[in-house]
Amino acid sequence: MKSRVASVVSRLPGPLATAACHALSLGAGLIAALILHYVCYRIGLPGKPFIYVAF
Amino acid sequence: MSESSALYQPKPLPIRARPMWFRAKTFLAGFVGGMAVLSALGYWMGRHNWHPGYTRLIPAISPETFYYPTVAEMSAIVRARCRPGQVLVIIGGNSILYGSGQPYAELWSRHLQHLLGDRFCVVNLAFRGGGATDGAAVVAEVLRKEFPHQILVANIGTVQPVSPIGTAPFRFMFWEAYYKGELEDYGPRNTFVKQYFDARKDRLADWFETAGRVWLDRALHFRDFWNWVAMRWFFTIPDKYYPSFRGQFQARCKFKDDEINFEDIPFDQRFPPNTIALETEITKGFTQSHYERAADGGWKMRPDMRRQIKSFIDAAMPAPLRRRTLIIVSKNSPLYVEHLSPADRQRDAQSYGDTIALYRASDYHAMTYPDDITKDDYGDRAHLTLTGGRKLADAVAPHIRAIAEELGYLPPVHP
Repeated sequence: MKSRVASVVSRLPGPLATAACHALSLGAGLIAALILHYVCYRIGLPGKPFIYVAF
Repeated sequence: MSESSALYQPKPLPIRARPMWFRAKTFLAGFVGGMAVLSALGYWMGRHNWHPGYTRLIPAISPETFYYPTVAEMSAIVRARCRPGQVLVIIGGNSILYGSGQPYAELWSRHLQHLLGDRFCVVNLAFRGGGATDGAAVVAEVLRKEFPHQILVANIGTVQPVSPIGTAPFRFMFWEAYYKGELEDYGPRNTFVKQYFDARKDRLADWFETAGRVWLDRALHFRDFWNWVAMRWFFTIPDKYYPSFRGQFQARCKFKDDEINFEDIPFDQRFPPNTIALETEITKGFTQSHYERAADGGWKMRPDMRRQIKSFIDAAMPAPLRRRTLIIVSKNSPLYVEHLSPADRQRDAQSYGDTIALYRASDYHAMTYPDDITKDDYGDRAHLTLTGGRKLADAVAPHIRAIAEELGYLPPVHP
């Protein structure tokens, strides 16, 4: 069963469909990079702010 | 073959392949390119100042609210404010030198700048709750070659040592500079680092987590990038300090330095009677375990405490950096000292001279509050009012000029 994105892409003319596939894939890669970059930032932070930590 | 199996032939389920639009190589190119762009942006942001209205490390840009400024970020603040050729005076330490209870317009370090003049550049990098070797001290050491004419001013409580690797909530800055190779290679401090990890249960895992995190950030610059996003666009981590939805997620540049003014609070309300007993005990506790009775009935610092303090302060920074450091031994409010017994009061008074002597013996410069700071100059047990801050600045300025002259920062004055 095709997704909505796949349905839209499959209705495009050949070269345009190819370009759209590459654009979507590139966009997905960029989003994945953004998410991983942010995850790296978040895992480096402590779970609680320091005012809640006894020292 | 049975009749039922002849009638029912399950169709093989189609293997769900990747989406028909997905192109693996293009996805990988987007991923790698995206990481490269974000890392480059983070690297570039780390070298620019995105705190144009910087006053001091208010809660919105401090670990109190999940904002962990990077060493590069704080260094950029210094570069934006100070010209080459100025003597850089970095204020570190805790909320006392941060100026809790002092609105920015009349902050003690601004008065210090006014007293020192344009030849000096005063930057307040103290953290509320910070230690003398946290934040500001790390930044000062990182900038030691770029700003060779520098003086670090930090405070401690009486008979307190300074930690060679910073204090727990702010140690992240020490680790960042240490594992990026931005600090002096100093043997005694390296020993403390080794002992720190040796004392931990999973020392290899802890070391890998600490150093690995820094090395990953060195490659990807995610802390600088997302701090910039947090400062300029939106914050992403909710916390209880700002209870409203807007407060939790709005850009941190929208928060102002709106420190309260202790002098707006009547004296009696600053020191409620029901807190005097507790605060007096705290005051007593500063020196209680560090001293023993001397043969003449007076007090002497316990030898083991003296050795411990000395080992810490000697390892905190190399000797050349100690010589450019002014340690202010903060005092508790005389209101509580007056409630101590005569013996405890004598010990308390003696401890300041002993602490100053200890630090000076290890090549630090050291001082304590001037005698004209009275109980009226305090907003609570530890923090000074605007008036107290001015008096402190008046006392600190000559020490800074003397250090600058001693270290050859200032041109000689010809008679």
